[in-house]
Amino acid sequence: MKTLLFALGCLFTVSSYASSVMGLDALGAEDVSGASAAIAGSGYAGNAKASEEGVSMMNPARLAYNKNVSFSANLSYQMVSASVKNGSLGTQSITIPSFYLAFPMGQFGAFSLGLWQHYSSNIKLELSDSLNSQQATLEYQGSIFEFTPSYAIKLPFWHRLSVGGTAHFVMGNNKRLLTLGPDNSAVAEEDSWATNNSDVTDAVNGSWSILNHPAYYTLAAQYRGKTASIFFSYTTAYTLVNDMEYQLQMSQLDTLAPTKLSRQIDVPITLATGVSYRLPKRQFVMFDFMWKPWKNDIPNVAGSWDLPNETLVESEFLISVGYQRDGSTIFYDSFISRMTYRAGAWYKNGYLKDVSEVGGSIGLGFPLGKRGTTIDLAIQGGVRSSKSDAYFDETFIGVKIGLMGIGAWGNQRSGM
Amino acid sequence: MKKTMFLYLFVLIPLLGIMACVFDSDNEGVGSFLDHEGLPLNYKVETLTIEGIEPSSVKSYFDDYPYSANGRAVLGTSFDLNHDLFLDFAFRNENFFSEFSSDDSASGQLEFYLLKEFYTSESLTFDDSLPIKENLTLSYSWVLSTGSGNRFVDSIAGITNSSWYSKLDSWEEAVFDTVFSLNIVSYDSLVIFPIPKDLIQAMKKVGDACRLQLKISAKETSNLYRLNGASTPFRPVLLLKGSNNTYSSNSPFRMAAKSSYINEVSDSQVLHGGGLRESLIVELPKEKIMTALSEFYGDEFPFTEGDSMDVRQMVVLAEVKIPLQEGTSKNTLNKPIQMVVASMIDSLGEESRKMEAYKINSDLVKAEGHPNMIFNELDTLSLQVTYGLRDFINKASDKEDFRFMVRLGYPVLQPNDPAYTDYINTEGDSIYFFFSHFDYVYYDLAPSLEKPMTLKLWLATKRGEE
Repeated sequence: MKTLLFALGCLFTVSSYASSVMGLDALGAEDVSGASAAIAGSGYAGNAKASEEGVSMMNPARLAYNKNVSFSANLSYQMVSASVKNGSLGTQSITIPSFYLAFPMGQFGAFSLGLWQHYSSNIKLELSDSLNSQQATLEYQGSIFEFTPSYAIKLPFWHRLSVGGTAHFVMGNNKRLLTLGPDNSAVAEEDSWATNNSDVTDAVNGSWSILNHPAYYTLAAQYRGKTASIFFSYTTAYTLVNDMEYQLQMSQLDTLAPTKLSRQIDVPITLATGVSYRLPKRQFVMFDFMWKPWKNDIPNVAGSWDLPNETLVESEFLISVGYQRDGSTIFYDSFISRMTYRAGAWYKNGYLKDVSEVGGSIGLGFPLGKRGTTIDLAIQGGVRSSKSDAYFDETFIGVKIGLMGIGAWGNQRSGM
Repeated sequence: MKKTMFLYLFVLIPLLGIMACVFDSDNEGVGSFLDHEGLPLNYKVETLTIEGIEPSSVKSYFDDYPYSANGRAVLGTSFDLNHDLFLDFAFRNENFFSEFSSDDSASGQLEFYLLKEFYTSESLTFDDSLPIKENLTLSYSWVLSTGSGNRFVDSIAGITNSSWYSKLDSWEEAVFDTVFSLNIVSYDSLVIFPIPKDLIQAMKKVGDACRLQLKISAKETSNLYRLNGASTPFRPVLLLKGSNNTYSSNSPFRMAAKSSYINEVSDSQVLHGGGLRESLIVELPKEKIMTALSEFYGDEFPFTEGDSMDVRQMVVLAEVKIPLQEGTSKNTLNKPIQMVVASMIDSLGEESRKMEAYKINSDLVKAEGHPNMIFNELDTLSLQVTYGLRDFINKASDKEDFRFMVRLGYPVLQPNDPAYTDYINTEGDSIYFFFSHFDYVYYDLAPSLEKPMTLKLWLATKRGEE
């Protein structure tokens, strides 16, 4: 087990950037459902599964059913191949998209803190063709992080129903660097010396915040039945503000005075629901649905060169179905039967106009120790396809690893 | 479990490794992606030549404040400048002065070492000029203060250089001239200056310790003597001799030089080199540059939208070409001299001076020599003002005229060598690009700046295809 983790760690450290090359100038790629490895294993379905420990960003009300103090951290590795017209375009990325701490407080409800990389645009592409004097390096580094304190409580008179809410405090930075070599074709030969080795970088540096408000909010209600559980959640609309500095530079110390730009992105409400149905032998089938009616097109990062000024949007929705077989909680059972198995599939109509995503995933949960500490591994694959010419189709494969640590802190010793 | 490990190690991880290779990019792929996104694969370079620019103003600044002569000292004149020397002595010798004060045959002299490394440099031909003979008139003035004990001498060392310099500037002491015949036959020999009788008389008043601040001028000579300063191994010595072969030999603990105009001038556009604090600020009219940019791009210049920072293009290189008229200018070492350029740019809202970089046009240098040098038989001086114009166009909306500064640097030994630095060649010889001593010249830029100059810009144009 340790060898496996070590080997995977080595593999990840050699890889570089990127998760999708679509919508880089808008918000980038969305990491749905709080970017948790467990839920990724069942195809983003399972937000209603109340017996699951940990935090759900779609359904904060589920938190009320947590039994143990838990910590979870997730690591994501994605490889994307875009089907460009000529040649090949592939990128790899590694990120730590989220981590959470959850503190159940018995009859006083449960509280959690989290950090979630909701949107990211990370990519580094290099082109060096001295024959045609083409030299370009494109680098995006952007993250919209959300600091997410949540609270949930079971109704005192009816424990099968819980309510919860999350405040999403938005933060993060974004950067686009386009470094270009000179094209001297329009200057006289005796003048070409002046620009040799002079690379110019078109640089945008920005930061994220929410307009006129510190945060946006998710409210949820969850019903936990004996066999079926269901949740509904509502997330408020908000306006993202991206304050940017835009300039041309020869080096980091040799720049033009930047011009200050700001763009506003109207993010609509989100409605989500999900059902989890228990089958015999610790098996569950799950169905989730999320809907986000985007209306206003997204202004692009500092419009320049021949970039379009806006990224067109459409209503976003995510339909996911999943299966999960929980591992046995009896420590003396075999390792295989103590493992958790997940599988799922999803269809997502992304916020980018005419872009849809179909994907499937399998997931495994490896128990570590007696308390229920687990390593979750999810392997996802799928295609993002575009009906318009605005984007290239993409194939992606991703690996998510999550560590869920369960603590006995605050719990009474039982069974002794 | 072992089987599982085998599966992980030899199947899953190699599979991920292979996928990592599959998900890679090539030039064509990145190219077609950038093209599709509306991003360029390089930046288009365009050149813009603005001719017939007449400076809106030219102003010279010359600072005659004293400066350190602890290393290299100069005494004499160079064309329109006079160079005085100041020596600061502090010493005690109670035994010597007890006899010296009543000694009728007391005498003294001031001994200097010539700056031999300059005069015997292989790059120059000064040996031909030996012997140097002239009737030299030296003007001395001094401030003598006496005291006693080590504490007195130590207290002098506590006076900082800067406060010493500040008082030298306003010295009004009696001046005593000595005329003598100077004859230098070897650059190794001491140069001995006699000192006036009045100074000997004054020194007789010293009981134990003294501080002597001595000023020497040689305004009437047409030579400039380069001497070793107070912190070199060959520092000057003030030798006081009594009868019975008693003597006191003391060196100054610091020296200063002051270079100033022999005759007051106004509206000068002359540069002197010598590492002196002088500069010439040239101002080019904003309107001419803005109009040319407007005509070139068809856009509004200066840019006034938003916060008015113009990031629509970037100056990759800018060169100002000045037609040279060197007829009235004179030098002494007969070597080309590098022209140093700086621009006034904005730094966090304050105007600051930034030294310009110099990018070398190797082909041109090999054929004609470095274009930023004077006394190089060039008819045009090309100065790069890239940082300055980059900043100027970027913030033109709140700028006045474009200003840059020039002054003279070191003489150049290899004007046609594109290296622009010292190096060791393939034969193992050291090649020195600059001569390590300044030339003191008279370089009048006025005739050159009367003629219109040309500004050439290399622009990285950001505008897309419309």
